[in-house]
Amino acid sequence: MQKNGSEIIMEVLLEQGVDTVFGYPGGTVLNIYDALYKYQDKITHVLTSHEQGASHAADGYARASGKVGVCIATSGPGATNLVTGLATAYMDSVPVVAITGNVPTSLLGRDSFQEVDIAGVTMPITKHNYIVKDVTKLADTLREAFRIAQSGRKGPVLVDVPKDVSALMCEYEPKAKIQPDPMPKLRLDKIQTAADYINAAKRPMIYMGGGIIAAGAQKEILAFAEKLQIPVASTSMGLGGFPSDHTLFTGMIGMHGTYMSNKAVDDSDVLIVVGARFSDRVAGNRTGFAHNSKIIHIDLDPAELNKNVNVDLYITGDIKEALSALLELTNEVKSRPWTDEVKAYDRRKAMTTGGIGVNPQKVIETISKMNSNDSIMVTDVGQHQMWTAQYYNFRQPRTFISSGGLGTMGYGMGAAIGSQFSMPDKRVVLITGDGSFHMNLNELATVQSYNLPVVIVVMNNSVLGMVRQWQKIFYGNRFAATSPGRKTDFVKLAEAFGIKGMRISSDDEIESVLSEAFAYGKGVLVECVVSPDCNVLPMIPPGGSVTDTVDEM
Amino acid sequence: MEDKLIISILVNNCSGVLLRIAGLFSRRVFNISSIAASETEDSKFTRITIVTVANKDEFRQIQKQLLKLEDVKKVILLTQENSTAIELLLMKVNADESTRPSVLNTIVKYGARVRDIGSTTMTVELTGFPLDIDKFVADMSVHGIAELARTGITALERGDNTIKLSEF
Ligand SMILES: Cc1ncc(C[n+]2csc(CCOP(=O)(O)OP(=O)(O)O)c2C)c(N)n1
Ligand SMILES: [Mg+2]
Repeated sequence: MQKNGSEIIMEVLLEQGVDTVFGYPGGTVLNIYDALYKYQDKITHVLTSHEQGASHAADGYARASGKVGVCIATSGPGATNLVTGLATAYMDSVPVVAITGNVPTSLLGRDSFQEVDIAGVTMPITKHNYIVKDVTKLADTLREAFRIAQSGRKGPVLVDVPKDVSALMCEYEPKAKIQPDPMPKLRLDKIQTAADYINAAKRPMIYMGGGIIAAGAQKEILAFAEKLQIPVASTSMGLGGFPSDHTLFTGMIGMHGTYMSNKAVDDSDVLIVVGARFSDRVAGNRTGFAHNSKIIHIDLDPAELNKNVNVDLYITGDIKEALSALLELTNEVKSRPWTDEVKAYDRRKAMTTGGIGVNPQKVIETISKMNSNDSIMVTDVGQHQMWTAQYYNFRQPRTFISSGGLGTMGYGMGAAIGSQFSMPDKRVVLITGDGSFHMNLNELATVQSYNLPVVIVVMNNSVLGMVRQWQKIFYGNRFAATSPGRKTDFVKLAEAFGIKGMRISSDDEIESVLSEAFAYGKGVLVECVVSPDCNVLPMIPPGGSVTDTVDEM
Repeated sequence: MEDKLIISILVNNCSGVLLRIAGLFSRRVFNISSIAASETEDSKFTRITIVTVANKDEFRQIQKQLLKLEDVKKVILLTQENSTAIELLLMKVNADESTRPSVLNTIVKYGARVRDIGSTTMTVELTGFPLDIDKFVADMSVHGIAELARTGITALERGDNTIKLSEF
């Protein structure tokens, strides 16, 4: 049947099972918006305040649900506003498809009004991208975008559609939903070698990352750890992939990880790394990392082999399948002296925030207590993010939505909106900081317009706390540009957007205010007045090892 | 050990593909000493030959990162031993009436070809191994080189094997 380019886009989105898109209109996407108008009973378009918000919303939608998130923006500034969101999704391997308009093909390359080479701009921050100059290729290109976004290590793909292409008529042939590429075949000989290492290990340790969640391998990792009684440390990206209150769980690993995790990794004789990538925030000292250990690395991306840390054995393939195969080949262990030794370490050692006034730890722990296992915690970036990672009791995958690899301040609002749209029946809580919130608080308007019951907790320490903390440690308390002295009244601000505002000014208000906020049932903002002097501890300085841990400030 | 490596890459023949490859090298902090690209026997594909300085581990990392690009089909490592690796030089060398005989002597010695003769210069072409080209350029420099352009190495594996038959 004949359809115009924009209708073809709608049809392919429907083929792929998309029912929600996030975006912002403009000149070169007018055709696409006209089609969205026509398809409004099948596809919900969520209008954000800013395209950056739309890009983070698509990302949050994808992280919370495991489905592909979709965002749409007009050419030029609309498209460039997506860039931070795409880079964020790229770093954390989140499947997103971005559709941008561009000037008509006849105007390409002429510095036309609102023309930007967005494919050129986003080349290093997408898995792949396209400019579709021929409407007959539009449907298949978009399908390819969905295939690429979901295949192998997931990630964002951008499809740039010049305005004439979105208007031209062409024959549309429906096709079935695209299937992701098959996973690379597991090498069973390598699994056997891994099993031999693990069976012979005296001090085995697991370091798991976001790959567990991407692969949906939470059951497998739990069964494996329990069968062999191996302690488990997780990166921030992996939180939720293993129950935080499990006796084998040692907490987060890395710069702000627990002493328990970092020490156990350092002391291990066989380290099983699953779905993680030895980022510098975990393996600060690349050559000294787990130096006593035989390292087995299991990941889907072949390029992670020896990228940062050299390993003894590398297994490429589906993590879930690999763990199941390992489970078969390894011998059950009833108890291990090593594991008892690790359990005896103090998981909370040096974990303290200090400062006077409202205690951030208590705030997070109260939120943790008041929420069920499937509540979704979204964060921004800074101390509040690390406090959430440290003190919240994560029990299910896809419940911690946070920008790990890129550390994008301003991520939270959009991501919370996207999470809420993908999981309308789950509680979504955004834990943000005053600095991060100031970046994209415009999205309060979106929360209000769509009546989203997001609970926004602003940890207002009145400073750019995380950067200030580095200035305390490494720059002799010279607080350049981290104490903005803003006078924003967050309660009034929320009210100005039509959202309820509340405030916690002392520890004894934590329970009562939070329970009121959680019972409210509509969008609500809670400001927590926190001391500017709180810290995130312990901390391994960049480039350091567990022995360099800073445990007081 | 760091070596000069010849990386041969088979990619989709589509717009922007060279930018993707070069961009990947630059953002992963791998250098490019030379790059040569053109359509292959099958117009769907382009073959890109890149010379870089890297050790074997670094090569494996480049190779794997390249293979993650959607447009990249094959990435193989060619060596001076297992491949024919040659390069084309065009050079405009000063040659007036008095120096022309000695310029011609050098040209003959290297098996180069005269492509054009101006009033004060000659344009010569030499195709061959990069080291021979280096020597030729050095020998010619006594006459004064007005300008030169080199294509960078292009290479094919020796024997019957082809990039399409290779594993990666
Ligand atoms: C977009 C962006 N700009 C700058 C930074 C650097 N940065 C990291 S944490 C931080 C401070 C965050 O302040 P706030 O949101 O108030 O969180 P806090 O650390 O105070 O809890 C800054 C500026 C960043 N991560 N992202
Ligand atoms: Mg702050």
